[in-house]
Amino acid sequence: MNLLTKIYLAFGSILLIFSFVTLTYVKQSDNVAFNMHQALNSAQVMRLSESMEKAVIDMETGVRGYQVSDNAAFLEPYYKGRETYQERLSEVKELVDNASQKQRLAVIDSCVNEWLQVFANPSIQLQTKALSSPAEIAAYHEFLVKYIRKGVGKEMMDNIRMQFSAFDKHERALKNDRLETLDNSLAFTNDLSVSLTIFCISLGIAIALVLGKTIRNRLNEIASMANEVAQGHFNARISDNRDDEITRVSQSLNVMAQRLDNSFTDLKKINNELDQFAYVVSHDLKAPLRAINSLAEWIQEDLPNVEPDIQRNLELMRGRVFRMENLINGILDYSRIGRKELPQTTFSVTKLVNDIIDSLAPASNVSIQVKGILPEITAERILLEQVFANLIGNGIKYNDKPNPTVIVRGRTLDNTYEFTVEDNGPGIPAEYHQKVFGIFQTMEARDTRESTGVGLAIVKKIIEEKGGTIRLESEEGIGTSFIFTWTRATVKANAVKSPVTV
Amino acid sequence: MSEKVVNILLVEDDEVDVMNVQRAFKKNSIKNPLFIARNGLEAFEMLRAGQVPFPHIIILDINMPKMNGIEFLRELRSDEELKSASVFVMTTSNEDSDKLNAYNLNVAGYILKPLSFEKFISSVATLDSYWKLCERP
Repeated sequence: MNLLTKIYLAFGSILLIFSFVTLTYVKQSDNVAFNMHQALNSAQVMRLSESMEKAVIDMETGVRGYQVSDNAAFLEPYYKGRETYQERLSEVKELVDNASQKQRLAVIDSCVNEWLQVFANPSIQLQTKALSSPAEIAAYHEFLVKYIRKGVGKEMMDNIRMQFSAFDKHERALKNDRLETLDNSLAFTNDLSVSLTIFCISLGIAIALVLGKTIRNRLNEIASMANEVAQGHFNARISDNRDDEITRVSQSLNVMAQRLDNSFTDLKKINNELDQFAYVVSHDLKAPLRAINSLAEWIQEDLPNVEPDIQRNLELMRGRVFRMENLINGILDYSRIGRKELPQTTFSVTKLVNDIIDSLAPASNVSIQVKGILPEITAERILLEQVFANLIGNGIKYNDKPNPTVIVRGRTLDNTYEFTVEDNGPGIPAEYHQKVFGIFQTMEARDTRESTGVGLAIVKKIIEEKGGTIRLESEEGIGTSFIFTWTRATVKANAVKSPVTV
Repeated sequence: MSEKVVNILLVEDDEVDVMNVQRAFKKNSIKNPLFIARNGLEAFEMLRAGQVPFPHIIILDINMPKMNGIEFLRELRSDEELKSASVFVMTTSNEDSDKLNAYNLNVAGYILKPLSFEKFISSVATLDSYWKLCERP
């Protein structure tokens, strides 16, 4: 599976869980709202039932007042109470949804109606008639004896009160129940959302840690493999059989390492062949040369009185044999550069140059000077020695002045050292400035001065092999300066140190 | 006092090189008996047949047909009777690998064949003084 798909899936699942959390939260909120509404409803019902009871009491008060005073004005609370009662009843009916409470309400209503039918209405009608015509007094009286005095009305009223208090009691219980449900559902909502959030966060952290760790481990593996390759171990490989982006990178790296490995095997083979070639040149080509030289020498020795012409030809022959050997040695020296790993040491360039001056053993008219202090550097000493020996040697060898002078200078730049070898020789015309660095290129006929034309080619090859550059500045008749740079070996030193610290 | 003469076995395939040594001996009036083998196999035959009497010194070329100098040395050092022989390697090869191989096989000296005959004579003169040292009882 692709790594990106895995990451998407992980984040997708977390987002999914979060949407679930939100959904439940909304749903729970609905629940809470419903329960709250129910609780408020109960409170309203209780308020209305109280008002209903009050209306009933008003009615009773009205009827009693009339009975006692015979004044119709006292009936006003009665009528008002009836009206209020009906209004409140219809309101309560709409609010009550509990079945038993509905039943209780129906019982209350039927009791109130019974009280109205059986007691209040007959009492008011009979009393009103008795007040208007004395003939009706008897009927009222009978009612008075039969109902009022016996306390039928009071009994019914007590019953109604009881019914109301039962209704209230139940409604209160209902309200408390609902409040409790409301509390519970609020608590549940909180618990649910908190726990799901915590779960999501831990899941997210876990996924991030696991994914991060795997990615880091695999990247580390790739980095260590790349390091191995950088240090020249081209057989380093990464084993990664997952099928994602990193696997593809690993595989590409493996292919790259394989290619490098192959190339280096080829290169080693070619180098070995070149070594073999160098061996053949040094031994097999030189052997017959030496023989020719010996034979010429013996002929000269054995024929002491040979004609001067023949003598001279024999000399010339030996001279050419010498040149041939020098050329072969030149080829060998040139081909050896860069093929062998040489040890790096830290040394003073001033000392190196002084050693070279000693070994060159210049004639008394020759002056070789070091101007300023040359740096202390870390490099392959033999190579730098070859460079200086060639340049200083050339400065003297080809010098046409009575007092040949060679001056060596050096300075430290940002990433390189720059050295200058200046002579007061004949100078090199501008058109030859590049040509002098070619192999077997000489400025003069070889007969005039025995030279192979390998020296500067070797110098250039060494310098470029080490990442430096060489150029020359020259004024004809006045002198030549060779200016070359030598890379400061900081990178190499780090590369050597780093495996130690691991 | 009867001086024991050191016998010299020259293992060399190039005729001119053989002549070179012979002429050098003559010039330096070196009278030591000189035996010549054209390759390693021939040298072994001569040594094993007792044709080169003791004490002896071997001058060995490296590049030769059939059995080259290094192969010869390797076999010589594994031969119980012959392994103590003094061997000088004389060759044109200035290769580090050849020098290393030779010194690993315990050679007494490594002489680089110089181009000129004069230089060669001086080498032989050095060898001669070495032999004189060896000959002392």
